[in-house]
Amino acid sequence: MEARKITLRIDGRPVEASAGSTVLDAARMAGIYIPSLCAHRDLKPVGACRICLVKVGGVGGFPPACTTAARDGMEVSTTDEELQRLRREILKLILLEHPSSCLICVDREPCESFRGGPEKSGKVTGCMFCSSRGGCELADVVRYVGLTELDYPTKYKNLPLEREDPFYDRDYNLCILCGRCVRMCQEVRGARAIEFAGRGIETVITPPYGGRHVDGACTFCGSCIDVCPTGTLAPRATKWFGQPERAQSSVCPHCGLGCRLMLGERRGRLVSAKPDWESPPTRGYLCAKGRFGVVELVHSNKRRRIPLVRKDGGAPAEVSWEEGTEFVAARLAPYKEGRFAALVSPDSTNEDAYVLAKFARLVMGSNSVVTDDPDFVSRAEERICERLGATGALATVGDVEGASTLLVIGGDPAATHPALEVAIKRAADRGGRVYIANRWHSVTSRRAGEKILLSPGGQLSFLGALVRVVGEKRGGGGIAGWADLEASLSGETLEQAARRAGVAAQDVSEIGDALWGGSSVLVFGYHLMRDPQALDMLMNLALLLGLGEGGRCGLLPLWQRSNAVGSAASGARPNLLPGPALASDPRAIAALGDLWRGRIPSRPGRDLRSVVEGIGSGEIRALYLTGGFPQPELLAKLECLVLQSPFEDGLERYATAVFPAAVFAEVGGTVTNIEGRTQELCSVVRAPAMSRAGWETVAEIARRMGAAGFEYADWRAVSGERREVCKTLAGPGRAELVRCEALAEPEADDRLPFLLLPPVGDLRCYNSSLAALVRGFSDIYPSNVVLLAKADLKRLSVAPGDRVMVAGLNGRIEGVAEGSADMPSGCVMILNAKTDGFGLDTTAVAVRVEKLSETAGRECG
Amino acid sequence: MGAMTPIELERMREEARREARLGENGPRARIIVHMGTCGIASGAQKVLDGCAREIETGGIQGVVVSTSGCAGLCSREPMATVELPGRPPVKYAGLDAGKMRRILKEHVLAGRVVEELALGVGEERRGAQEAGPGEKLSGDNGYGGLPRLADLDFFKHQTLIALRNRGRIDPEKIRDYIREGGYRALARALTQMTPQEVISEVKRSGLRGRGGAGFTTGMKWELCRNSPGSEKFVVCNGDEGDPGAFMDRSLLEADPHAVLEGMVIGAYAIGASHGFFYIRDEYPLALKRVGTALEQARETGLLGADILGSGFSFDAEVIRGGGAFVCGEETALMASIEGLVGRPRQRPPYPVESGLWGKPTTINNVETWANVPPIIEHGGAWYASIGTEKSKGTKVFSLVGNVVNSGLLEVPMGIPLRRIVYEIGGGVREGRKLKAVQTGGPSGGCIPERLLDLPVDYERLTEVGAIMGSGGMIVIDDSVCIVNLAHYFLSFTQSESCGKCTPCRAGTWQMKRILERIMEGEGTARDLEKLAELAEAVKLGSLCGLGQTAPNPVLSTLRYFGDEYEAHVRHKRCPALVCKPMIRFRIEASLCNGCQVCARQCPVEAITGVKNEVHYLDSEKCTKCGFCTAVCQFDAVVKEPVAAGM
Repeated sequence: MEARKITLRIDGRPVEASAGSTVLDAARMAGIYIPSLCAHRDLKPVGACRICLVKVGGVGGFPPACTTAARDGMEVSTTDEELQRLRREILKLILLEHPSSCLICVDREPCESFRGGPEKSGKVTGCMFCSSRGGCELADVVRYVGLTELDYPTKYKNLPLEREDPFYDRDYNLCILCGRCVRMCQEVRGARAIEFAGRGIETVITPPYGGRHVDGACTFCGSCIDVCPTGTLAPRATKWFGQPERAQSSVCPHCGLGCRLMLGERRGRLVSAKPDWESPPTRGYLCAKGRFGVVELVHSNKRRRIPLVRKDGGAPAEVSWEEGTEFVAARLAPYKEGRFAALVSPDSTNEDAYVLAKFARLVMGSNSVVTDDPDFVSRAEERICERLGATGALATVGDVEGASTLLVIGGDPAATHPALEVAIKRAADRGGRVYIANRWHSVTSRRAGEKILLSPGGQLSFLGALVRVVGEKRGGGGIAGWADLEASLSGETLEQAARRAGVAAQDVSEIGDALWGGSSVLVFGYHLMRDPQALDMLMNLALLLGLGEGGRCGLLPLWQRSNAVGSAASGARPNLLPGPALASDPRAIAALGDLWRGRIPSRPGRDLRSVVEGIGSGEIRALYLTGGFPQPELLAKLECLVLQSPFEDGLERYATAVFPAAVFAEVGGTVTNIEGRTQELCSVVRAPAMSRAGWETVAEIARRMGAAGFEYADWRAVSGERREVCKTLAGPGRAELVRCEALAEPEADDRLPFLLLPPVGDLRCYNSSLAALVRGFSDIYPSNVVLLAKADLKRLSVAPGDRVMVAGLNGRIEGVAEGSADMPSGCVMILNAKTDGFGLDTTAVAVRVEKLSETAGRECG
Repeated sequence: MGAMTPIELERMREEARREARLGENGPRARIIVHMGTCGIASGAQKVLDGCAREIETGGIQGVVVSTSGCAGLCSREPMATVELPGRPPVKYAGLDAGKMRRILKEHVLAGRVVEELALGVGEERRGAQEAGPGEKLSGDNGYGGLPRLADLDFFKHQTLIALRNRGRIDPEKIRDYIREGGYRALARALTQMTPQEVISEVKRSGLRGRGGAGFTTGMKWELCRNSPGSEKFVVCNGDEGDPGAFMDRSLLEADPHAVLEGMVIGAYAIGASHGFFYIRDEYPLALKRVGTALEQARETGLLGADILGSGFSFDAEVIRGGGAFVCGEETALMASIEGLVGRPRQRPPYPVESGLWGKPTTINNVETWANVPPIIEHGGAWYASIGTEKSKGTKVFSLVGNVVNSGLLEVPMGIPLRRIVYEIGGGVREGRKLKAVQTGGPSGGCIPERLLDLPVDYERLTEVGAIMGSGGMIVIDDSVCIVNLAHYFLSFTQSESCGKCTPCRAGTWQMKRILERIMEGEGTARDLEKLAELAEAVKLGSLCGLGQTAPNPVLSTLRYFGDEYEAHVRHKRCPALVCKPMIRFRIEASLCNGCQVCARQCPVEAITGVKNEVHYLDSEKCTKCGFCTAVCQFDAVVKEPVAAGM
């Protein structure tokens, strides 16, 4: 809806604004500067700093521009002498609490040109020693007001620099209490981790009871830093690098959401990663991983630098890139077809994934192209592609924000895609209905929406019940398969189905009504995808809600890896060809053969588990590995292992050849996020030493092996070819309703009385882990935390902090127990641990939990 | 019980009156112990307990002992009233358990008034005078020469409207309130008036907000009524926080139903369905009594669904405030009720448009609500006949400071300040000279002695740089340093500033620092200019009323006592001999008899001297704590000016 336009006069100039905007908005739109410090685009105005005071004709006093509604015919004055005098007084009072000697120093300019960069001092005592030097909003205001003298003594609070938490330095001696950080944390991020405390001049901003952020509600999203107009809050790792010489917008590599980052470069080094306030998907909102896990990742001292080859069992030797590719081309040649597999990191760019998948199929004759994600992920990708087509009718983050109803099921965006939480919260704030249905109480459900706690196996019953409610409203109209689906569901009443899901029938009806009544987005995570029947039922629901019928319903799958969608569409899956198209589709195989001018192998590719088994059994003898590997010791059995990855990961000892790979900030390319949005990466800094983009290495090996079709001038050439291939191969889905049969759910028994739920997210990143690369992540994501309901802890006589063992039929793991209100009784979740051994491809496994005695803990640990 | 109707209410009133009648079939005497927080603090509980014990052990029959809230003359607490059949009540003051026993024996049992303890006889004057016990005073009342209570200086200028039931009812008994005419106005409003008529009546009365700002109450109600929204709220602002003010506390403690009745009438007029009593947690007795009142009103059918069969439903609850001064500001108060940090927000929008949870909300002060029932009962015109042109009715004040009679008073608007201080208050204590009267608490100002003939009126008080405020009135004598006083109030607002907006948070701190420099004898002429400039910036730039009025104590003292500031700054002298760096202590040889009391009291052993000989005070050691002056019986320790730094 287009807002009504009004006209007001600011300093005599007619200014047009939309009704409902403030005087400050109107002035900004017209390019008139009114100094302001507490106002921010995304925050509700509060009128706290009082620097934006203006005069309004017919209104007494000096109302703040940020809280005053613009009205038609209003006369606003921003510069009159009385106003400037008041503003100067107020600015002096602001500077009272802010070390300000440099701000008003007459020698400021010569001094600035004399000093090259900020000094590393503990506490900041002047602009020359401040990390926000050169990018300080307060300094801009001082310049505008033209203050050159302070006739009061200032109040230096002499508060200790707060450095107990990872990532931030907080120096509240610089704080002017504008409250942007507090409001950001409460209004936008919903974390409520900080609040004002104290009164009068003693007012401070603090976590609860003055403790550490790691013990509070802080998620380290960094939004507080991003809106701080002073140097109070600063990212510790990069604060002294200085202001960047140039900044470019690129894409965060840490989850499937693909938030845009402004990467700042100074003298060949990445010096900052800040939000890009203008670009979708999240328009300025990041999470800890993107805000603090980028600069140190790129400049990690674990980066590989020089190619290595191991000749005839000897020690690895550094070689030139040409020599390395020549060597590998020769060594790989004997291991074609069933003897070869490729593992593509789902963090690879579209170009890297495409070229490696093309190499595996066309040159090596093998469809065994896998990723290091569990196999349920590629099965889900295949199923969605099969039923809904290549694009999957995806919703955007904007759709989430604007949806009238959101259903989040089988996932926890706050844990896996934290910045998406902002959109979910906004949807709720705007009056949308938000339902969050899980086996446990997710972090997301603390911030917004209504919690729905599902019973074991409840996802399918719950969705089935919703399908009935929605299907009846729609009358199944116009979608094939409704009769069959309806028949399969009518075996029990709605009440029975709801009861099996652990939900009241009335709630199911209400949610169904809400979904049907407006625009809806279904957001679903890995917990849902682990149950293929529930995934099918979700797609049934989406189709009935009008998926693909003019934006009435959208799907947003929470793929976790940064280029999960793009690498699948590049064909880097055993069951998918570029497009994506089904690898079992003869039409697609033929078309791809024509495009690539070669033979596409018809033998189905192995999935990850089968690749691991194949290596174990000796059938697979060569592996091209660009990601992580679940059972590293098995790699010793290979005859030829080519590693091509950015970080040292300990696998070098098994490798025949190692190629250092460039990461996202170093080379161009594209990635595709969970919305299906393909975004361009940019090269901000040079890759270290002899690192190259993955596609370059693979294409070079292919050429040296004599293959045609790998002559690319640059990444754009790869990208162009890929786009053409995808366009040709991508097919529509069947868009039919299918019946779903419940799978047997694991059940707890006396011997294994708990259900272990799979972990929600992890910190994997390229071929390493963020916790291993960037300091601080292990503090906020402590490993091997065993979450149990508080009542269960009590029953087991385990105190929080005790060491416990969780053991199932196929695995065991030790960790530290923690009581959690999020866990329903009888359920366990282990955070930030390697739970591969449990066989957790399904929704849960039965386990037992035992308290470890002190000594046992020590022996094992 | 059956559904409550206006007829049932009248029946209940008759019954309560019958029950209260003494003599014949009823009790033979009634003793009322006045138990406001002031009374309790001075020992009323002991008086009550002693009285009850005496009656029990003596096996005395037919004597009813009950309690009431504050009786007004707080400086003479504990107080009690004794009433015998057919005779006017007698008020006693300055009691203890022993004196009470004597009254019981002599007056209650033998009918002989204890004249030396008695304050007066008869009732106070109520604003809407009815034929009551007061009339019986004309003939021989059997109490000989006792003065009429209504003729005493403290009481004679008072007109009780908000405090109409003072000393007469037990605040924890709704039947007492009903007996005295309570809820009659509510019945009238609900059954005989439309909401618009109620608003018109309140508008006609000219009633203005008693919290301090003085916005016309009827207008506020009308704005709220006309504000779109299906759900509306009413709030009673009981977050009284001014130092030295206790009007709201006393009223809530003494007559909670008066406030509640006003609120229900207001809710009916506005169309609100729910009300909140926001009362600070430092007022435990008020909290308890309002809670009891709500329960009893609910049980009696005067609160809840379909009140008095009118179809109007309303309920209210008590919210305990954490004691932040700023929560008395209406937007901060609402944030606090919503469970948020109590910080104000920019107005507009005003609460009548967007209040609690964004719904139209009317917030009135305790006293404002309490004035509503009499206005409905006796008419707006009657109320408007009291007071001045723009300030109608009466105002409750808490008179404190260096004044003889401190207490709670309700006077008609327009009464000269001098009459309050010298007649009601009985003048300055210890025969000292009056310097100023401070009204309106930390937002108010100091009115100098020469302006004391000023009539109490919203506009007139504002003209002289003070404000009506919520009713705190502090009498200041010449022993007070005006800079010190301004500093006291500024320290209060500084530490109670919520910290949200810059001018209030940092500006009051900077002003306080300047005052401290002046008090230390380090002030300069430039400091005085700065003080005025800063005061202007804080006043104009602050977000809420707290900051906008915080400079008032400084501005008004600068205006009237500029010479005293000048003395500090230019001559480094504190005329009141308060600012320590500018005074020294000395023993006046001609007066000292060498009793050694001061020497023993001195915490730093600065005074030496042999018994019966003149003592010596060592200025080097002296910390100027003033213990010696306080203990010297002969005024031999004197303070004298000394230039700072010497």
